[in-house]
Amino acid sequence: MIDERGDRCPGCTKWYWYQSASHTFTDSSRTQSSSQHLHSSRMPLDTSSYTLSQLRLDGRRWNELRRIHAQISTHAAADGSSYLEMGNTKVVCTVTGPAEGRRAGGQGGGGDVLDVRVEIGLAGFSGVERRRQVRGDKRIFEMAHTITESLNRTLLTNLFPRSTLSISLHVLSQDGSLLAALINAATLACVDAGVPMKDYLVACTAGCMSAGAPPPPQVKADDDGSNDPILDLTALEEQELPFLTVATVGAEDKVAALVIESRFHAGRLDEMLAVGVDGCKRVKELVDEVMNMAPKSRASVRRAQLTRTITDAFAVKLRDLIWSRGATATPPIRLALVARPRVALHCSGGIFRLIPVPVGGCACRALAVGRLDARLKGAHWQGFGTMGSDGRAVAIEGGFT
Amino acid sequence: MPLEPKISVNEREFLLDALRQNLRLSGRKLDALRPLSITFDPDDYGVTEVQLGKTRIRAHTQTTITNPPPSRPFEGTLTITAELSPLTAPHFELARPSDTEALLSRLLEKSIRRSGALPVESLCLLAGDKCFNLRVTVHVLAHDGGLPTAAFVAVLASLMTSRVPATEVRGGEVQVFTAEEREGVRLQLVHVPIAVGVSVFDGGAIGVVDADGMEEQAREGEVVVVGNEVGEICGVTKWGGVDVGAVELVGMVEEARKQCEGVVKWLKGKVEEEEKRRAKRDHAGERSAENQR
Repeated sequence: MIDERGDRCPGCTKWYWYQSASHTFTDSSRTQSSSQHLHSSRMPLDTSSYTLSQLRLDGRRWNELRRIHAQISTHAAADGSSYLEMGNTKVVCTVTGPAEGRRAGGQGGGGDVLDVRVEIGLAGFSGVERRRQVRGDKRIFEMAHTITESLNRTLLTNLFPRSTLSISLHVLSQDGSLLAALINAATLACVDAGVPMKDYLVACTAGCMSAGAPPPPQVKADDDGSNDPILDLTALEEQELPFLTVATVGAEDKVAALVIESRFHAGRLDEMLAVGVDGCKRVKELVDEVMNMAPKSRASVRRAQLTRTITDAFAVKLRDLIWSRGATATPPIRLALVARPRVALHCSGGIFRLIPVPVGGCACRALAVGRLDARLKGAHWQGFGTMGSDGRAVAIEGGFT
Repeated sequence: MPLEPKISVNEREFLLDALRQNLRLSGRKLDALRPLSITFDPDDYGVTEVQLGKTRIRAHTQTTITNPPPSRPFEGTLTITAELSPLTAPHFELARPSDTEALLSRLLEKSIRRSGALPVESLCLLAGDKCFNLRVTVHVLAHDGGLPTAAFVAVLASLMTSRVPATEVRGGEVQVFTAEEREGVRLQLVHVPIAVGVSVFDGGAIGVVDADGMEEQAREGEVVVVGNEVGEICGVTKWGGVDVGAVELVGMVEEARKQCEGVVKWLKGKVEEEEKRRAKRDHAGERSAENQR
């Protein structure tokens, strides 16, 4: 076995590129063979020693992602926006909301949770041939449906009753992994819009070089790695090879969406999924980097200020509240920034979550939801704080529910 | 517009409580399909009606002769469309196709066409000029969950029992024979893809095969697996919903795929039975040019 941290294989003393996947991730019966398989397919870092058959058409190795370049806050008019490239696949996403539904009554934003609407537009020049998008294309509809359903469980939709979040995706260039790119761009734009979510929803594709045959029970000595699963397919590879698109929530093995449209032997699924999930982990890191690198826009700086002011005001209010519920000592209240723009308020009396809701102009409202400890009769407290354009909290209202 | 009736909070809680104790309200096991039955129209080819529990689906294959698309001159065309009308349930409308309908059509079309179950080259009559156009229409007559399974069985049974007219090509001319002149030709399917859905409950902890209408309302996500008789996966769709651990997901897919194999075996038996019955009725043996040696 290779040393887990290792980059040098004791078997053949070559340098190996570290791949954090995936041999832990299979059934008991195949664990042994699978890990051997991965061992054999680890490739030396020095590409000059590669046989050409081990490299893909664009010169990547089996487990390499294409270059991911992304930006957020690209459109001033939208509440949140992003631009994402995965290789030559390029998409733009703009998000409006959470806001009042566009259609009054009945349809749209009438429910008790946030209504997520996704529209996908394919530019006529995005593919190989110029083609006008047909209305009611079922393939596009299915992609939009997948994104909606995945975001429904990732965004904290229960915090925005009677509101609509419109996500508009535009495809500028198609070169494989389209659904994955759309999901990643939507995630970035939602974060930019300040919609609270459990974790990043990230996606990528994985394919397989030999479709028909089941994976061999034992790895043969002459295995040149040409039967390996591959990560992040281009359009050319998608045409020829069976592949899957997988979306995970955060960096864990939690699969939110899985779409397979090709035929292959069932025994190939676990290795493809393992490579796909591992790819998602790396996409998550890259997305995280984009968020950290993003220049702070005026809006986001302002939002941070508002968050701080409102949180302070809430802290005072909550301390009073907890006192009134019969706490014995002054509860130390600690504010922690959990993730932009979510703020958690920890105090000895309970945990509260604050979500700032921009209401236009410089005014801002923050929603606090939380519960007091069982000692304090476990009551739920929910309230709104409103802040005027002068930057001071003018009113905080709420109560036990 | 009538809205889909939703189950009450009490029913949902009760159902979930029971599932946590490995019980289903219908008394089935968690990994058991409802009883499937199939009837073939005795007077027509390629018309089938499938019943899965209370779900009923009718499929019908029609053949016409058209021009092949210029990009694919050597191929015929196969289109599959699903229709959910107010007949199915009051909340489905004729004028506006529902999401369920669009997703079912898409699932059928991509899994049967893209997996190459029917070689479309065999539908070509004259390259670039004439080909068969097969159109399978799926009518959902009653909806009580498990639409994909019932629809796949109906469509495949319809394709397996349908006939395309016998033809003869002479000097660039296609002659099409009526059923009276010559017996139609059976379609040759490469493999038989069947879908089985696993519904996910309790934050991804419980997987239930072939959910009925009530369970579909209470579920938190679904994985639809399309598998065939030779151990291949022809498609998997999990359109969002609650997140499931990757290892559990692989287990669910494998479980559903095994169920698919069983259904395919059952379906093939039924179709053979039907073909034998027809052959006996129509005295096909006497009209056949083949000798029984």
